[in-house]
Amino acid sequence: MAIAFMALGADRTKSAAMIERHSSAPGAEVTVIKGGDLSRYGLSEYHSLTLPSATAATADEIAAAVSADIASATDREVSYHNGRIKYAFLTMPTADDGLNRYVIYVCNPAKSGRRRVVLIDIKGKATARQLQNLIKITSK
Amino acid sequence: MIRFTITILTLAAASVTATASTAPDTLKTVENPTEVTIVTGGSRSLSLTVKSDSSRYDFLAENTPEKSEPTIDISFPFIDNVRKQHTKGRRTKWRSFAMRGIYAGASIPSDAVPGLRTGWELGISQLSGVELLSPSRRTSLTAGVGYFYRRQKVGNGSHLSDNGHGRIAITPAPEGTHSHSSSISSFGLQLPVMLKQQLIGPTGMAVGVVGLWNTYTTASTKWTDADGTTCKRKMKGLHQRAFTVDALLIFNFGSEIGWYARYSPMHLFHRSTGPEYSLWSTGVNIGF
Repeated sequence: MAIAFMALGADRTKSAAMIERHSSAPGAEVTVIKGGDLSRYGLSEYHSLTLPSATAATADEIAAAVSADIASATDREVSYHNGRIKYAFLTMPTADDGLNRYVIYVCNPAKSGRRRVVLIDIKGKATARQLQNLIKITSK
Repeated sequence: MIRFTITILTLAAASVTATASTAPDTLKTVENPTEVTIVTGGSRSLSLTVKSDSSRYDFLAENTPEKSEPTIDISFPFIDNVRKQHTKGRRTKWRSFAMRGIYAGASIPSDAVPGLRTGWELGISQLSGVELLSPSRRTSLTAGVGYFYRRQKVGNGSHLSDNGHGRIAITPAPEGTHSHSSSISSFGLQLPVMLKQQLIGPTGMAVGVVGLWNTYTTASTKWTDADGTTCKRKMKGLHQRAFTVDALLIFNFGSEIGWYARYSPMHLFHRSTGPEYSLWSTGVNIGF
């Protein structure tokens, strides 16, 4: 049993753990999609967490988890602003079920020095290129 | 936040020393200036000249607003779809479908009719149909049309006998004969009306009633005489009820494979024209 738990833990990204950890935070928006329309895009699971007004401590905790995932990612696209991770698209090691796994992170300024944090954990057959083509990114 | 940047235009040769207590935005500290002249002023820039006994300094101070942090937004097409469904999904929706509920299973007599044995059945519950989806899309009411085939066996020392005028009965097999094999076959259209509920993901259950239009029913019996002669007899023109009703329950594990149970309480034949029995049937259902 302990081995099974270890294996489960190894398969999860630090970001996925953050999504779970902060999913019940005040104002948190969690979106979980499995199957259905996702299969059209070569994806099987989509988990996202949006914290519209995260405190600096929460934002830093999530950023630390993303940093850990950056270290273990097989491919990464990261941009920084004032030394802080602004955007990250990470290709993580393949999941136990053979599917590709990706982490996407965006940290925007919010009112009163708070941060708007979006953290997404995605699994599927789609390649990083296919997924990047799917995402619409707007920058202001 | 506003930050000041100071640019020195001209710096005199005289030595000027910044003290350790110099504030971050202070470029130079001039001790005992003899004259300070503001050349130009404004909200965004300040040009000034500072003179001391031995030196002259010309400064241009410009305040430039710090670039605000850019905002990045990301979106996925399927999220948009989810939102659209969320906003639109407050209404019910009709849709049509085809080929749902291919099934095969065993049919077991629930009445103790001597000689009647377990048979089998197969069919397509809904060759085509319409579905009324709830706003959540997890509950729906379906109505369709399909067809069925059911074959009920007779054995255990009994066989089907023809009583004339399309009347049949299960009777003990005549002495001296053996290898009896009799069955009642029924074919027709079925009209299921089902209430369907998705439970977890695509896994769900459906419950409803199925009208059976028994368009074609035959009986056959086969035996071998004492002298080894094999005889067959097919009985048509039977007095089956034109319309019977079943109750149907389906559990589907995922969107494809499932299990069904069907209860047929109505006797297939009119009173005194054939064996009177009800059936339970159960088996595999494909497509939900």
